[in-house]
Amino acid sequence: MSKQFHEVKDGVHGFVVFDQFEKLLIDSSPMQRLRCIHQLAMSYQVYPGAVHNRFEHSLGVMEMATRIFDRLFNQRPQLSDEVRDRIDAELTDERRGYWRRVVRLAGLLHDVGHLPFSHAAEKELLPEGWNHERISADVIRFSEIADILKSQKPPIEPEDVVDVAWDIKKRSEVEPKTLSPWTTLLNEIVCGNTFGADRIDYLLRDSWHAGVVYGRFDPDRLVSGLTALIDPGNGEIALGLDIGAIHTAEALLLARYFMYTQVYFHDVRRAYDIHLKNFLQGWLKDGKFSAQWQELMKLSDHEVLAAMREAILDDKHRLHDRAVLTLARRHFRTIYELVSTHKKKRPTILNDLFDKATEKFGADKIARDSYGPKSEMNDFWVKTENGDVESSLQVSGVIARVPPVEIGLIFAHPDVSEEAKKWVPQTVRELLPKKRARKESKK
Amino acid sequence: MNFKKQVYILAVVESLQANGSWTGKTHVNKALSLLRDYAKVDVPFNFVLYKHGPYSFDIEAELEQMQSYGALTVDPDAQGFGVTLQTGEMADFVHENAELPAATVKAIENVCSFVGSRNVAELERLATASWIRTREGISEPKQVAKRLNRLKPHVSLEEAEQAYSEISTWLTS
Repeated sequence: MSKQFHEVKDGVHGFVVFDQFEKLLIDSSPMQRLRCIHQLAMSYQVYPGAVHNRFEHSLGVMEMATRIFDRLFNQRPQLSDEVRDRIDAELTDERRGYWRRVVRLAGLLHDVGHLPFSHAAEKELLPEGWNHERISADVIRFSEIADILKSQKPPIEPEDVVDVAWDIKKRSEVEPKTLSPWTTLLNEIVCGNTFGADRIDYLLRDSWHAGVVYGRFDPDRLVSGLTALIDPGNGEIALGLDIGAIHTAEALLLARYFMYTQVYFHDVRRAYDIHLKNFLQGWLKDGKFSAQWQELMKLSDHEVLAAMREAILDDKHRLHDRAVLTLARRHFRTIYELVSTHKKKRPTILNDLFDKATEKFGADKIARDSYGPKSEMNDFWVKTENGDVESSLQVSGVIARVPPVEIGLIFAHPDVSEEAKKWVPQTVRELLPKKRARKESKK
Repeated sequence: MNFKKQVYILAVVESLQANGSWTGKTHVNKALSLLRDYAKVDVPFNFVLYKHGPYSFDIEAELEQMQSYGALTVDPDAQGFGVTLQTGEMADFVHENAELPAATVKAIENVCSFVGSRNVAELERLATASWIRTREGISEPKQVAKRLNRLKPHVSLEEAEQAYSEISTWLTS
C-alpha cells in the first residue's frame, strides 16, 4: 500500500509534508525540470554557495503559503464579523479545503515555466508579450499538470491555480484579468509584495544558501501576525498585520532592501547576467527562447552550460569569445556605479556617461545595467491594539524610511577597464553641473 | 527615464494641488485614468482594473523615478491614509524635457477639478463606473451598477448607480 503522506527535509522550513496527489505533481516532468534551474542564475560566481534551484524554492513557497492560509482561515474566530460576512461562503469546510489545496498548488507551481537561469534577461530573451509567469500559466493549463489537477476528486480547476499563482501585477502586463476580492486575497498570499509566500521563501532561502545574513527575519512571528481586515480606504477586504508583528515586518523589508543591494544586484552578478544573455542570444534560434511551453520544457541550465562548455573548448567556435567571458571569468568590470547625488544633479547621468564611454572605448567593450528605483516603503494596513486600522507608514517610522532600491552600472571589458576607470571621474565631473541647474532655470 | 510620461504625472500633481487635493497616489492614478475616458487623450500608461479600481503599474514606476531625483516628494499622509505627493525642486527638469499640448493641459485641469479632494472610496466607484462605460461599453445604468457591484462587492447597487449617474453627467458635460 502506498504511503498517504510524504515528507522531505528542507533546509529552511524543516519538514515539508505533501500527500500522494501532490507527489504526482512534484514528480511530473515540468516540476522535476526545476531541479536543473538555478534559483539565482550565475550568482554562484560571486557567492559559491548560491547553487540552489527553483525546485526547492517551489516546495518552500507551497509550505509557506499553506502556513499563511491556515493562519488566516483555519482559525475562524480570528476574523472579525465584518470580514467573516464577506467571505463566509468560501469558508465552509468543503470550500476552505478546496481553496487550501489551490493555494498550496499555486505555491508549488508558480515558477514552473521559468526559463533557464531564472530571471536573467528574461525580457530580452522572450518574444514580446511573454514572461515566465505567462509560460507557467500555460504549463498549468495545458501540460500533464492540467491532467493531474483534473484527475483529483473533486477536480482542481487549473484556472483557479493560475489565478492564485500569477502575480496580478505581472499578469496585467500581458493578460489583464480582474480577480474577485477573495481570489485577490489568495493571490496576495502567494505573490504579495510584502507578505507573499514567494518573497518570504526566497529571502530566507537565498540568504541561507549565499551565506549572508542580510535576508533573515522571523517568518513564524510574521505569519502569526497576519490577518484579514477591512481596508478603511475603500471598505474592501485586505491582507494586513497585527501591530504586535510590526517589527518583524520591518525586518523583512530591511532584509529585502539588503538582499537586493548586496546579493541580487551585486555588480559582478549583474555583469554575468549580461554575458549570459549575450551567449544565449547567439546560441538560440533567432536570439530568443520559444514562447511555446513544450519547447521551453526541453531546456534547462544544463543544456546551456553544456553548450557554453563546447564553445569555450573550441577556440574557433562562433560563440567562443562569449563563453570565455563567463566560464573563464573574463567578465566585464564595473567602471561606474550610479549614486543618488549624481542623479539629483543630472537625472540622465547614467545614459549620458554610457554614451560617452561607448564613443571612447567602442560599443563592444562597454555595457550597462539599471534597475528601479523601486521602493521598499510598503504601505499596508496594521491593526492596532485598540482595534483601529492604520497605515504602516504611520505606525512604523522604519517602514516609512526604507530607501528605494536603485542600481545603475556601467561595465567595461577587462582589456580597457583600467583605462576606463581612470577616465570616468573626470568625465563625470564634466557632466555634472557645477551649481544646481534647477536654480538657474527656476522661473 | 521617460519624460513624456512624467510630464503627465507632474501636470496632474500640480493641478490637484491647485484644486486643494491632498494628492495621494490614488488621486493621480484615477485622474489619469479619467483623463483618457473624459478627453480621449492617449495617456501613455497601461491601466488594469485592480484592488481600488483602474490602476496603472507604470505610473507607480514613474513616480518612483521622479521621486529619486527630486521632481516629486512623497510623504506619509498626516491623516494616516497612504502618502501625499508634492512637486519637488527638480520639477522644472521634467518641463524642460517634455511638454504637453495646451488642450491636454486644459483637460487635465478639468479632470483634477473633478477629482479634487474626493476620498479613495469615491474615486474607486467613479473611476470604475467610468471604466465600465468607456472600456467595456456598458451604458445602461442598471447593468453598469450590477457590473460594478460584481467587481466590487463592497459597493452597494445603490452606491454604484449613484456613481454611474454622476460620472455619466460629468463625462458628457
